[in-house]
Amino acid sequence: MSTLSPDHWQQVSPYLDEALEMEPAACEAWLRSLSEKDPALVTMLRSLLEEQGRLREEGFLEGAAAPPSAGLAGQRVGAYTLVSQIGQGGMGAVWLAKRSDGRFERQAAVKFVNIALAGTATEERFKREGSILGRLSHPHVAELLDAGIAPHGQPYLILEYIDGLAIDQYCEERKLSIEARVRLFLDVLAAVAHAHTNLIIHRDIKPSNVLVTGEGNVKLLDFGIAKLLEGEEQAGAATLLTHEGGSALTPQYAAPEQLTAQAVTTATDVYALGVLLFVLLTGQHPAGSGLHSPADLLKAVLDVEAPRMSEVTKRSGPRAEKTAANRSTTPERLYRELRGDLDTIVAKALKKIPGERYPSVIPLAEDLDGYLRHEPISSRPDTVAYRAAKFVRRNRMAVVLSTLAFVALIGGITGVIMQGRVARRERDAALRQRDRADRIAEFMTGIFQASDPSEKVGGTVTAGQLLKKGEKDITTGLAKEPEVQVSLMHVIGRAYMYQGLFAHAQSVFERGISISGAAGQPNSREAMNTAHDLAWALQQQGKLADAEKLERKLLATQQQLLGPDHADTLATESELGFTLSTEGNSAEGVRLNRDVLEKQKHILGPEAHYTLVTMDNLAIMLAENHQSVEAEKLQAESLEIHLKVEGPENLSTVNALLNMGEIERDLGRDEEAKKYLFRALDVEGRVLGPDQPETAVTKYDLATLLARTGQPEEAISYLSQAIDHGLPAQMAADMAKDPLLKPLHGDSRFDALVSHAKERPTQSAN
Amino acid sequence: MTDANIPALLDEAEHGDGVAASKLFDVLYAELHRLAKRQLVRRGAVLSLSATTLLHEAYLEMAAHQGRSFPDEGRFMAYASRVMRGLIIDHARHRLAIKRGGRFEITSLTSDVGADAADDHELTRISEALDELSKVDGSLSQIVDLKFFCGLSFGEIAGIYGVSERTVQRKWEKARIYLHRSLRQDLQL
Repeated sequence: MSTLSPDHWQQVSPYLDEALEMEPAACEAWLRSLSEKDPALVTMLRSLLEEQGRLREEGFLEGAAAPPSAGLAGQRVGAYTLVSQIGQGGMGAVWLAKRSDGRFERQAAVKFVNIALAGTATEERFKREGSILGRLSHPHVAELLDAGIAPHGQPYLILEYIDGLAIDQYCEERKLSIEARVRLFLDVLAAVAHAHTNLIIHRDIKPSNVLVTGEGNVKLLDFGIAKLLEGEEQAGAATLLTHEGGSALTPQYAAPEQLTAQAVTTATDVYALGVLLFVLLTGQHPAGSGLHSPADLLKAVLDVEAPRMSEVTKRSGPRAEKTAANRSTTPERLYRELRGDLDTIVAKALKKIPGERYPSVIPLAEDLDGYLRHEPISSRPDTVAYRAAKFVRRNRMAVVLSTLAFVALIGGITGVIMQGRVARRERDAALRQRDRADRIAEFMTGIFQASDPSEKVGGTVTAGQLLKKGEKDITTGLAKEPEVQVSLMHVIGRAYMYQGLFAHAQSVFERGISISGAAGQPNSREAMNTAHDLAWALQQQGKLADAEKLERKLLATQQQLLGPDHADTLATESELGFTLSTEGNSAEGVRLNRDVLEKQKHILGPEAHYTLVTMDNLAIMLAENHQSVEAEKLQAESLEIHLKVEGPENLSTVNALLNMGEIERDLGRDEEAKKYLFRALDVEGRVLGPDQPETAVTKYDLATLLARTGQPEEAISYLSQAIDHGLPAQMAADMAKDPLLKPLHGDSRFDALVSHAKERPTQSAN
Repeated sequence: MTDANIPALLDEAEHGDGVAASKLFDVLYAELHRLAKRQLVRRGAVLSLSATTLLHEAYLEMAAHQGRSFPDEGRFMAYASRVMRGLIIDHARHRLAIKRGGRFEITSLTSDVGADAADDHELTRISEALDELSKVDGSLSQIVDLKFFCGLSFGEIAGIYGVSERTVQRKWEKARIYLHRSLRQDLQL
C-alpha cells in the first residue's frame, strides 16, 4: 500500500471530489480519458476509490465512538440482570439481560430510553402505558415484559429478546422472490391487525422494528412506544426539522399527518406499512434513493406523490440487475410482477389523505391475499379525483414551512406579480416556476440554518433579507465551489423573478453566468439553464432585442451540445417563439412553436405538462395572428387534456380556461367567454385565495366583458373587488385609459372607482 | 460560566495563534465537562448522555452569555467537537481507573442498533490520525469529529455549515479513506 504525503493528498484531493460525485459508469469513462494524460494519478485514484468502496461496505467509522459501557453490566433492572450492551439506537442504549430470580432462564432486551426523548413521561405514566402494551400477545409481536424507571431516574423498557435481522436485510440476504416477500409481509400485517383490535397504534413501523428470526419468524418490536415517548403536547413539524437526529419519529416512514401533527389513526400505520412494502419490493424508498435533507423529505412526504413501484424498477443498469437478482428474477419480469395489482395496492396505502387509504390493515391484507391467489382486488387504479387534491396538499406544505418564518417568502412566490394585460401568456411561465418553489424553500432552509443565532430566535425574516444574505453567503462562503455558486445564483435569481424584481434577477443571473465562464464551464447545464432564465428576465423588462439575441445564441449552443430534440433545447426554442411574437412577429412565433409542439408530442408525450404549456402558448399566438378558429380548436383540445390529466382544480387548467375565454372574446362570443372566465375565477378563488393578483386580474377581465355586454352593475362590482383585492398597481392606475372599459365612461360609479384606485397605496415591489 | 472571551479566542486561534487555540480548548473542555457533570447531578447516577445534546447545550449556554457578538455556530462546532473528541478519548483512557462513584457515559447516536463500537485503543489511534488530517484538510477532520465523535447526522452537519448534505457526505468519504490509510500505515510500521 502506497503512503500518502500531505502534498500528494492535496494533489489528488480535487480529482477525488470529482470522482465521488459521479455515477460509476461515468466515473470509469472519466478515469479512462484521464489516464492518457496522467497514468500515475489514475492508478492512485483507482486504488483510493476501491478502498472507499470497501470501507463503505465494512461501515468503517460508522459505529459509535463511545465504547460499550462496562459500567452497567451486572446491574439489576426489574427482575433482570444486565449482561452486555448489544446496541445503541436513536432511542438510547440497548442491553442484553438475563432473568435474575432463578425461577426460569429467559433472555430479554433492556432498552434505556434517552432522557431527552423521554421528556415529560412520569414513572406512573410509563408503567400505566407499559401495562397496556404488555397485554399484547401475538406470535408476531415481541412481548413487552416490563417498563418503568430505574432508581437512578432512567426510564427503561424490557422486551422479549429477538435474535434476528431487519426484514429488509433478511429479504435481500435470502434473495426472496416477490411472492415470498408478500407472504412474509402478511405476517407483519397480522401482528399490526392484532394491535389495532386492541386499540394500539404502532406509530413507528420501519425495517429495524420488524425483525425476522433465522427460522423465518416475523417479530414486531416497539409497539406504541413512540406514543410513550411523546410528550403530552404533540410534537410539531418544527421539532422534526430541528431535532432530526434525536427525534423519536422516523421521518422516512412517517405519514403526512404525523409531520403536520394531525390525528394519528390506524391509517397512519397503513401508510408506514405501504412505505415498508415499497422498500421490500423495490429495494428503494418511495422518495428516491440517496440522502435527503429534512426539507426534501418533508416535501416528499407531504407533497410528492410516490412513484409507481414498477416505474422505479424499470430503469436499467447494474443496480436494476442487482435488485432483480436479489428477488430471484430479471428486471423485465420484476417490472411485470409489480405493475398492476401490486402498484395499485401500494399506491392506495400511500395516499396522502388518511381517509383515502385502506382504513385498516385488514382490507390491505385481503387485497394482498387476493393478489397471491390471482383474484381481483378491491381497490381501483387512481382516478382523476386523486390528482385534484394536489393543490390542497401544496398549501399544506406552505403551512408547515410557515413555522420557519417562511410565510413571507412563500407568500411572495404565490403572489406572482402580473404585469398588466400582456401578462396573459407569461402566466404559463409563472406556473412553471411555481412548481419549483420547493427548491427555493430548501435553499432558504440552508441560509436560515446558517444565519446568526441572534437572528434565529426572531420570528420574522423577510424574503428580501434572506435573499440578500444568501447572495452574500454564496459569494464569500462558496468561492471554491463555482458549480454550487452558479446553481444557487440561479435559484436566487428565480426567487427575485417571483417577486417581480426582474432587474435584480438579471444581475444575479449574469453573475452566475460569468462565474461559470471564469471556471472554464461556459456551457455547463447550469450555465445554460441560467441563460434561459436570463432571457426570461430580459423579456419581462421589455428588453426584447437582448432577449432574442441571447435566446438565439443559447439555442445554437443547445442544439449543438444537447441535440435539437432535447427538452431544454425545445424550451429555449419555445421561449424564442414567445419573444418574437411579443416583438410583433407572431407569424414566426407561431412557426417555431408549431415545430416545438410536434417534437414535444413525440418526445414528451401528448399529455405531458410542457406539451400542454406549448399548446396553450401557441393557441394565444394564433389568436394574436388572427387565426382565431384554429386557436379555438387547439385550445379546446388542450383544455380537454388539462381536465383529464390535471383535473379542474389546477392552475394550469385555469390558464387554459382563461385562454379559452380570451379566444372566444376575439371570436365575438362574449357569452361563451364569460362562462370560461367564471369557471376560472371560481377555481382561482378556492385554490389561490381571493386576494391573489391572478384572481384579481381575472375579475378585471370579467368586468371588461360585463361592461361590453351591457351589465355595468356587475362590471363595477367586479372591478371594485379587483382593486381592493390584489390588482397590480399599474393596472389599477391605468384603468381610466383601458379601451375595454370604455362602455363605463361617464358612469359616476366608475369615476369614483378610478379616483379610489389612485388613492390606494402602491404595493409594487421596489 | 467562564469569563473568557470566546469570540476573540476563536478569531486569534483561526489566525494561527497557538496559545489562543490551547486556551480555547481548555475553556471549552471545562465547559463541556461542567455540563456533563451537572447532568449527572441532576439525574443522580449512571446515565447515557448524548454528545449531540452536550454540544448543543454548550452552544446555547455560551451564545446566551456572549450575546449577539458570538460568532457563528459552524465555527463554534468545529472547535467544540474537537474538544468533545478529547473528552471522549480521555474518558476512554481513564475508564478503567474509575471503579466506583459517579460516572457518566457519553454516547453517540447511531441509527443502527448493533453497530460495533470501537475499542479504546483504536479510538486513540483514530484521534491521532485525525490530528494529522486536520493539518492537511481541516474541514475533513471537523466532519469526522462531528459525525463519529459527536454523533451528528449528515443533515445536521450540513445545516451547521450551510452546505449540502451531499457535500458533507463526499467529504466524509474522503476523510474515511485518508484515516484508513494512515491507520493501516501505522500497522505496517
